[in-house]
Amino acid sequence: MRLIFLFIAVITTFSIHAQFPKFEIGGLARSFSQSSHLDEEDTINNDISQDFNIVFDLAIKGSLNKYVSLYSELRMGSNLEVFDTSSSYLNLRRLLIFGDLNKYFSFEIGDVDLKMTPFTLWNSNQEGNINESVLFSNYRNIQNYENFNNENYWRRQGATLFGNKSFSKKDSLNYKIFGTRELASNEISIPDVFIYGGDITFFSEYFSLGINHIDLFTNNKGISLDTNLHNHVVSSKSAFKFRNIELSSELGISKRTNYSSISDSKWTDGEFMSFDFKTNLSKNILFTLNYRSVSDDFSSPGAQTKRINYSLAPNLFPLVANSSTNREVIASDIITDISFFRSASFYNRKIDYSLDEFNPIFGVSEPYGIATPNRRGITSMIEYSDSSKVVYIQGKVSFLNDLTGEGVLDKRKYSSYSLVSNIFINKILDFKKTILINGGFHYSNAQRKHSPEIFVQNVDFDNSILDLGLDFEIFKDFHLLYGYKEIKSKGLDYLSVRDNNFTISSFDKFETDMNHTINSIGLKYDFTKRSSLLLNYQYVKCNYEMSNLSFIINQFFILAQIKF
Amino acid sequence: MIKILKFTVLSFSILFLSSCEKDEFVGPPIESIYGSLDILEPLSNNKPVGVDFSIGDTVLFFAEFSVLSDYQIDIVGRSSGASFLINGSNSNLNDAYWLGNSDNVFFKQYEWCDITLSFNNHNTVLNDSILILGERDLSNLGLLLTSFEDPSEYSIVTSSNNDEFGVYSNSNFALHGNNYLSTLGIGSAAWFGAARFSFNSNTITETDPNNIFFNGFFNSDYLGSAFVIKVFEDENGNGSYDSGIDEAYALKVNLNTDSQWHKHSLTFNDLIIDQSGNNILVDGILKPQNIIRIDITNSQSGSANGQFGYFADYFLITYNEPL
Repeated sequence: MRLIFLFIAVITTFSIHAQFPKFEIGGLARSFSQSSHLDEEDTINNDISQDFNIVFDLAIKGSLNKYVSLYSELRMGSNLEVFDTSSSYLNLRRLLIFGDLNKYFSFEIGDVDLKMTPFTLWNSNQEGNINESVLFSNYRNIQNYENFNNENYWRRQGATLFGNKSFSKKDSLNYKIFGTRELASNEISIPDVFIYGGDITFFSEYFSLGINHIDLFTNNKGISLDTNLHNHVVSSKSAFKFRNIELSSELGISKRTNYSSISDSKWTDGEFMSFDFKTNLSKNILFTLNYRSVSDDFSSPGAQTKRINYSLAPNLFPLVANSSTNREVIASDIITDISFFRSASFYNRKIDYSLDEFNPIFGVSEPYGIATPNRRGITSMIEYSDSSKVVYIQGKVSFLNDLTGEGVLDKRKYSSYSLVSNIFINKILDFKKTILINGGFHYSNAQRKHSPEIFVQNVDFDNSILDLGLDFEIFKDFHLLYGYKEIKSKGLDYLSVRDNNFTISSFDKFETDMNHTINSIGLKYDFTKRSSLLLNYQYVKCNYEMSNLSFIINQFFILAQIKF
Repeated sequence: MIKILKFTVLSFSILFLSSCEKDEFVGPPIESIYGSLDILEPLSNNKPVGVDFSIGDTVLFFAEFSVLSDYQIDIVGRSSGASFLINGSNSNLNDAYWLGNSDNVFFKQYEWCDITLSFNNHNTVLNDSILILGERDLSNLGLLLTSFEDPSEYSIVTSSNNDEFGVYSNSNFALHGNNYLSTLGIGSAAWFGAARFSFNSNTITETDPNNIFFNGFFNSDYLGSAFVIKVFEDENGNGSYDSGIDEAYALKVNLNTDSQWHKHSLTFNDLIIDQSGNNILVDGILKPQNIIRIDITNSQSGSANGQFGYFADYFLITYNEPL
């Protein structure tokens, strides 16, 4: 309540003045109801989960004076567990003070969104999506919003100073520095953890050239710990444009240490390089080619931290098979297991030193995006979109291998293929109402053959993701939506286990034969462009052949959204 | 400008192409963790007709398996119950050998020993056996006080409380050779007689008490039994221990009372100054070269009225490490 009074007081106080402050108000109201049922064979489990949440986010943007502005998001919510107000809450979702110091420098303080390059600071998308149905992407957007995943930005708490200076009409210099606090010390054993970084890039008509630097480090003053951790990543990036050809590159190193004042510190050095070629083969066809090489000891927490914490259990039915088995986070959890309370979510917001766990069922070739350590190879993509936007097709192939053998001199070979398409049937049939069929298929394989002399099973791991979607506008603004997702994973791989020095200390044998499908059907009515109501039924099936584990979850959702 | 940039990119490319990749693989050898274990050569040893450790024989073991593995060879005496453990990590047993030593009690002459080869993380177990024709002479590891085979090596000091303190002969029971010490005290005293070992100063050649170990084997079934090791210095160099002038150091060790032989090893650094009776503190520094006498006493852990005693065999002083 004090926060509400504070906001009202601030707005009222400033509103009675003239030119400043100026305020804009926006917001979002969302109610989400879910009822999930575990299949009848799971008799011991609590096999029904029902949840109803309503949230209202009030966004206020205020220009306090010529130099300083304020942005805040105030959340009011309730999970409607009881009829009194004990389950209601009021939170400040975001507070940001920003403005311009002068012509060349701007600043942001508070909850800032930060992004650099895919090798330095980059929030990679969660897995299990290859142009999925509108039904799924709808929930995924809510997950991203609830977990502060704005595109590939990391939401951090800190400050950033940035700006640009133009030298001529075509030449300019962009620069940015930032500092964030990742973890607060307990003043006994846990040190403060900070990130600082910056970049500077010169842009010209035909080329650009820049340098990035980021460091994740501890400050252990005031606590008994005598070590100090650092993880530097430095990279240079460049790009050239010539007619319709665009060449770009990023080269860099990482330096990571457990620095100690009383012992020799060991630095682990890693390297990477990445080259991109991009051209328009015709008016409608875009071709890109990437070659990259990332060493096995390249450590970049800002780019390798995963959006999902796979070491945590899902919130919905974490135990299956009559409470005998802990189940892992699967695609349907990533999409629809929405937690409006931060502490309960398996979505990750911490950037720390260790390389995060990943779930191999989503593939093993690039679990940390293009910054995945120990990979070398090419990725090529071709996109076609016709002039009237009826058909969009994207094909992507990737051939990678281990840069250095893991546990054996032989290297894994990774190949992956993706095909994505959107087809607006209504445009072909000349209907006004939307009929969209979209989908995609992704297949990846990892292989490594071992010498018969070492008596170790070969690596052979397949993964595929199939997405299909239908958006059929039956009446004006009234849509029938369908989504299908199938994730298959089969084979064997040895996943590296890294110690505190980022060194591979062991391997986990991972063997699976699993199949995960989601069938989803829904009816959506758009009251306006920014408000809608969705009724949705979803059937989730998961089958693990090797462990004889199988479960089915039936789900029913009601989602109402209003944005203003 | 373009040329400079091209040159820079090319230089970086060459630099990174040559620096990223490694010639060796990273991480532990995968076969050491996930290789399937096949036995390529069965377990055997180089002494199929028996080994005579008394003349310095060494047992070598042979076996070959498909993957580098953490292995364990257990050797167990069928009659003595003595055992010896060899650990290693290899794809064969080229690093494994046995000199006749044991981890607890001694292997005996003419004893058959079972040899078991097992592997961490694998169920495979291989067996072999070997006959001991002669026991290993351990006396060269330090100073053998006695194995109670030669009465000139020791003397017996009795007390009014001891019911028994003597040496008996039974090769089936003795831990080493034929003879062993048998003690029994009755009452509430803390001293029930002692086996005494006298020698000249400088007999113990190691000067650092940390590196000197007393090793002895004890077998007791009387609850509360203990032994006391007491060493006597000749501080003034007159050839004898003079109570009130020279220093003595002692340590009481409680015994297991499960009627099984147990090895006890203790470092001289654990001995503490003895100031009982007329014994005094001179400088509080134990000087091993001045030791001229060692008493191994039959004692008890407390002051209860009862029966206390043990069988004992093979008292050996070793240097640098316990037996």
